[in-house]
Amino acid sequence: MRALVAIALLATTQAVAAPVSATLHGDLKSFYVTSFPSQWLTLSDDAAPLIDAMGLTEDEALQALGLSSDPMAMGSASARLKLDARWRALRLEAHGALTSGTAVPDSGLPGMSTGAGLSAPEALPLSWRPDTGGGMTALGRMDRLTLSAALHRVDLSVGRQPISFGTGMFFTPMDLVNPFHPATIDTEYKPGVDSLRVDAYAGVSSKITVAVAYAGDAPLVGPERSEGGAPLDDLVLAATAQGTVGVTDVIGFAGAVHGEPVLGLGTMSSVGPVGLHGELTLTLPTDEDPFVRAVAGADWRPTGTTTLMAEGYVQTLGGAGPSHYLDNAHSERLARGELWQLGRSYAALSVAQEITPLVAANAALVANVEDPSGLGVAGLSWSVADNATVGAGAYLGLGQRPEEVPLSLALDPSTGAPSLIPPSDEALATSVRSEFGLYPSALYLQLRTYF
Amino acid sequence: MFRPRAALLALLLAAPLASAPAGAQTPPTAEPSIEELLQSTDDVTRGESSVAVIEMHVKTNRYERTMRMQSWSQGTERTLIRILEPAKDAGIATLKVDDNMWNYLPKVDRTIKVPAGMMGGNWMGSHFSNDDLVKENRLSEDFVAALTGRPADTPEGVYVISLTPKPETPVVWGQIIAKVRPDRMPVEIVYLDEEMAPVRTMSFSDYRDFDGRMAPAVMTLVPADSPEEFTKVTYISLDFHTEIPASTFTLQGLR
Repeated sequence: MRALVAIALLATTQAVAAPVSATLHGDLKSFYVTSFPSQWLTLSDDAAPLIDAMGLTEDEALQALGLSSDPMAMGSASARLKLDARWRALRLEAHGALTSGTAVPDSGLPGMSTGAGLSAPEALPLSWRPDTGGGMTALGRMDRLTLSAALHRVDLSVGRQPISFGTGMFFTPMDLVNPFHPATIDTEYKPGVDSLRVDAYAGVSSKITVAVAYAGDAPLVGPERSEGGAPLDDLVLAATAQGTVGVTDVIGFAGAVHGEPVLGLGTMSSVGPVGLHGELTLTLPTDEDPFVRAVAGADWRPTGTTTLMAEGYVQTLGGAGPSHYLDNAHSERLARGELWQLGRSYAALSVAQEITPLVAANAALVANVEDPSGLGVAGLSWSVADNATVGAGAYLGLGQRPEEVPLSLALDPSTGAPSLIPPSDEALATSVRSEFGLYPSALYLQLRTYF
Repeated sequence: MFRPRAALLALLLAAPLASAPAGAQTPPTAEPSIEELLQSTDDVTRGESSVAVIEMHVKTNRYERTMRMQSWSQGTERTLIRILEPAKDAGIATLKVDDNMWNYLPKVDRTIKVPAGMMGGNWMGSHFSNDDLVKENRLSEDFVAALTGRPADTPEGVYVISLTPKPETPVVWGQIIAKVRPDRMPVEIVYLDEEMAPVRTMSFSDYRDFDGRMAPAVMTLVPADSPEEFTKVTYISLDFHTEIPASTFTLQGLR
């Protein structure tokens, strides 16, 4: 509220004759995805009575688990209208987004998505879900609604806006507010979060950023909220300080994520033609052991059309082996999307190749080096016009598939409903033999137009 | 995963192109020296500071693309570029200060440091290479010049200067031939390889008074092996007298 008052006061001090500039842009996107999940899964004999009791066929039971052995196809479309208005030192940015698609069963693997229609916790309920019947889903969301002011060497912004921290590309330990999952097809827009942000600058590249972002389960107003305002557990508080020494940027990070203190360090630099980046965070939970997440990476362009990148990542809170992965899968941090890794040690390699100035290909492998298993990613994009792009690609889960899973062990004992990750089910946990062996494979086609 | 090549290369292209033609401020003398002609040609694309809106049109046998961007520059060391069009790239910004370069991607709120080694290649399919744009060779300093034609001797009424790179000058050209008008405005620069075969030609046209200074509004680069192709850079506006706040060339200006 104070930020709004400050911005309003600033507005009243500006000359009323100053011109307002505004731009209106937008984009339309469509996605077609076919996934090939769980060909490995077979049900043990003891599943039959349970399936019968549920009134399902075996295929239906598997589909309810998000583990159907049949390929699944889905289509979705999204539209985004973007207003950017400026008046002197003030700026208003608003994005309205509407996404609709065919309804498909949950894949059971959080983070895998087209990237269109990504959402985030909302302090103010500015999303709506039209009733589209059972075969379709739709989501409307005000994904950006930010009022900002540039006050000499300080920028102040309040409202719904994207917030990112850190330097990592595949692994982002410092990016604790809605980081992208590596299996997200379209990472063009990071979802906006309701937040207050202050950036104070000094010199060319020194700055301090303080941000408070809402990350609760329910809006602060409206019928879903019964107990008043947001406690600390519903917030992400973050402060970063950045400076440059020579050609090296150094970043310090301190914050509280859902009440857990987090400290971090990051850097971006280069040695000869090779770019380097790295970051490390230390989280100090109150009810469990502290843990560290760290990434180090390099990128290099050996030719004018080829870019290579590599990253290594470790975290101390991951499962020591496949049989412990599902313990970590119950983590609230995983559910919130702050992290997606179930193990401890990872590496990623990627290559981007410009085939022609309008056609680019990329391939990447994100690997759990201890399983070992990996997620293979390949894509091709073609700029068919100034403001139109066609893309196609594939995701391939690589690694040992789980052993036969008795369906009885894939039921949530508290509800009886099918669940890939039932609590405290050691038998199911021991069936997991690799992290990315749990991942389905998928093909996609996307069309993007801009105006 | 976010490496917006467009923004990076736009910077490399626009940094030298968005600067002031300092030489145009000096009244022409009756008979300029070779050095004066070359300095004017050098400075027509370089200067102290400027704010510009630039459009680049690329035409090849397979495609055409147009990009519009706004640039702020101080000398060759400080440049900020913000892409205006196409819409899909609008808002992406690149800041270069001395040896440091950053890209800002507003859609994901990420500031990315760009290492020098990532500057290779052509600019968005244009006929400009980053190498010849980012390097700061000066015709007046890094080449041995010889006057091979005077206005009275040439049908275009221009000075013709042949330039051979000095041994320590790191360029791929065997020779450069520059044509300069008596008022010191460049007309054409032909780049030849080591076998003295033409590789490409940069022509200047549409000379205008920009904010009190003459400068060519259009620069067109044509490759010798595909004369039907071209990359044309047009200054929509070019302002030499706007005071640029120091905060422009900072991470604050980048965002």
